[in-house]
Amino acid sequence: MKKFSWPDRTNEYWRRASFLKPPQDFKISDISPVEKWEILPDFNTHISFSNGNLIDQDLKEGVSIKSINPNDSLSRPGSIPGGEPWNQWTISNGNVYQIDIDDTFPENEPLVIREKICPSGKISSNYFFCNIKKNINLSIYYLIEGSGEGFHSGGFTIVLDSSSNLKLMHIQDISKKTDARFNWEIKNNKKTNSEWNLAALGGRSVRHECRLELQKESNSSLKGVYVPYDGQRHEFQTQQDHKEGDSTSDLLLKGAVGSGSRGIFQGMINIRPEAQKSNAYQTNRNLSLSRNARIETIPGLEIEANDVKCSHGATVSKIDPYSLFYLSSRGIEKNEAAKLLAEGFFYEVSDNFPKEIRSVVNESINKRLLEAF
Amino acid sequence: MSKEESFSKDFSEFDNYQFGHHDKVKHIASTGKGISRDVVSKISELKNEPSWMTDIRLKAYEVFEKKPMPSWGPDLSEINFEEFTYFIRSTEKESDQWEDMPQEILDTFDKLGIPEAEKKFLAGASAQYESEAVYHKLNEELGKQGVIFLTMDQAVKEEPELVKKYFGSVIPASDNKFSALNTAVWSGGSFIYVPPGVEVNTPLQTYFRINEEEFGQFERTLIIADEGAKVVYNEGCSAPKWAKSSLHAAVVELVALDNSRIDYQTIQNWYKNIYNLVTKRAVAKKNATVTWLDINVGSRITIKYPSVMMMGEGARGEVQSIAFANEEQLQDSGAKMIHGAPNTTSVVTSKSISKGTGRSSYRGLVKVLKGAKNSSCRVECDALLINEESRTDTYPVMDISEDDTQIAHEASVSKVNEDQIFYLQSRGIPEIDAMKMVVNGFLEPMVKKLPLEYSVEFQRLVELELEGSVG
Repeated sequence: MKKFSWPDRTNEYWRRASFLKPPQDFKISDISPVEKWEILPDFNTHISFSNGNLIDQDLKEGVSIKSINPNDSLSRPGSIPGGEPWNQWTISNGNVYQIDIDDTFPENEPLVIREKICPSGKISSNYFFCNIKKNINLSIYYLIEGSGEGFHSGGFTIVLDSSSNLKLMHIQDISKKTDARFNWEIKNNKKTNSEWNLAALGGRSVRHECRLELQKESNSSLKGVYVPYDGQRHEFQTQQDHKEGDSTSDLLLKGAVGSGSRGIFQGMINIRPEAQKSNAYQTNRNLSLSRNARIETIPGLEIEANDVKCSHGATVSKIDPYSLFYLSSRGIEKNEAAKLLAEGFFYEVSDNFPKEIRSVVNESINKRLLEAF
Repeated sequence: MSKEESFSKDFSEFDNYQFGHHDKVKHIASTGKGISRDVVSKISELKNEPSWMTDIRLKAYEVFEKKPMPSWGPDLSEINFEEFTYFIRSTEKESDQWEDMPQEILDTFDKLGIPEAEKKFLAGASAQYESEAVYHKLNEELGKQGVIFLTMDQAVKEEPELVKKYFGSVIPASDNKFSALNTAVWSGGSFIYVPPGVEVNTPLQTYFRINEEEFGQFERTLIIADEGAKVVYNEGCSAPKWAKSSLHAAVVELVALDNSRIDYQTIQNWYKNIYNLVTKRAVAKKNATVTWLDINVGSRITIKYPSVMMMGEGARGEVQSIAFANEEQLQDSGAKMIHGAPNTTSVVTSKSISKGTGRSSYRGLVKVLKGAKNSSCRVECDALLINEESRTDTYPVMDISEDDTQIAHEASVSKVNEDQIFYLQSRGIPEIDAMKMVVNGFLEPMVKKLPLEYSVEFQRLVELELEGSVG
């Protein structure tokens, strides 16, 4: 295995990171029994992890999960620059699983993957590779929740074989005392479509590395929200890597940052020389909710082909005082009005979640907004 | 010669660079190749400088030795500081008469059209050849109003109090490796002071010429606009075609006091073997305005991010940047806007074109410090790609620590629209002319804002650079 060294602050992608390597003198945490799932407790078809270990599964035809030795695995996780040692560390310390889905899996039913992270002062870690075979329409709900202090390092690589479609509904709501680093990537093979909706809400200091890789004629989108408040620090490193042409990627991240908190977005669109006729879009919009909030946004483009359409945009603003005044003049209390406006700001993303999850996402966002003001 | 013939003659040259002639000029003094503490002291000695300036230089040299090369951005590993000559003197004394200077140097500037331009458009002109100015003159009217336009070398002797107060106050030697190098070995450049309430509406200009190979030009410019003053400053530059690279590492500091305005305009057209590593920064006090117009066409690698630090309430900053990266060129340009006071506004507009293996990057920073209430910034970057191998990058950074702000950044990348080219061709316009029209159309919104003499010159440069892009 190739040896990597931990990234340092001269690496552009790690300059603003709150941690550069995992905590020293760590102990891997044990499985903690799960008494109750907070988010959507009543799903039948599910895979459940606790502190990185597979604890329970109830699977139908067409899907299987097995524990694998990472050294035997042919696919290696891709990562943004500097992330390789983290991935190597994660798969050699945590559990690695492979999930295979073929076309006998029922089309109208989501596959629920849920994960409880309660490291209780220790470290938990896991990684899974998910292979989606040809010609499948699939939705996955990936729900992460947790409690207690500690550190988690985890991630997934989802590989879509040609002509498959994926909808990924993704909630991260770990405890506000847990730090974490996630490496999440979707590899789109030829003629695939993927739609990824992300609500990244929990954790104290969390680094999310999200990657979309696109082959010929594929489409991929990532829409996400984050609402750091009360000292939370949310970091997003994203990459839209167009390996081949005629592909389209669209990224939209919306954040509202509360008092004493930080929101950091650093994104990159890479168009390789072979990826002619690609379209790529990247947008980061931020609401600053407090004078003590700090927002950094660093969109990026690196384009090596000429027949492309690419754009990116980033904004930072506060809640529009005129709209606030208007709502107040209609008798809506100021905090309530601000909350309504922030809700409207997030609607573009939260509306994409299916009904049963949307209410969970909206409630979580609202709870945070109320406290963030 | 008909117009067509003269055009085709221009284009027959292999890379269309029209200022590539080299003139044999004898040097009066030179420090020889390489840099050391002794070279720094010798430059100071040759210039007969007061000891406080020698001290500034030596301190900066220590910083230069300690600072690492920048680890981000373009690859500068080919720069060997020992290969350059850091100081060359070409004339005994600078003059305010063109006739006084050696014929070879006069020829150079004649070919560049500087004496002609001075008569027509300028309120004051300075011409720098290698390390020092060879010509310098200010309109007498302005002199009577108290405007000071000197070379930096003169200013150290004639206006020591102003120089001591402002030199290095905007860009300290320790800012980066190249600002430290410049502070240690600086020579030439302009010093301008505009007294309170005086408005200089016709531009002052300096033209920089590098004539030798493996030479380093380190001019130092300091412009101070006192309360309510206005000044427009132009700079231009060129160098002969040499096989080996030269280094141009300038430092430009602007100080805009309350209610003043400084417009700084550059057309950078170095030959394609020059490393152009420049630090440009302005401080804008209460209600002051600073605008940078930054056009980069030449050089091998340019690293330049004009910045405005808006430290007074209501200050305003603007950067308009155009970059053209031709074969093997790397234009790493952009802008930095620091909002340090309430009600400050800034605008950055950048347009870049990459042709052949050229690569243009926008690298920018918008920083809103705590307390800079009600500040707003708008950044727009557009890139145009001409060939399949062309490359463009955008790396903006926005770091906001204040909630009461409006910050927006937009960037887009596109290629030359084939439908437009096809349409123009169908109307009987040759492909190359169609290409020129489309590219000029892309630049149009910015070019029409340029001062007239600049927009004509710039359109001609773009057309020259586009030759050979079709087929």
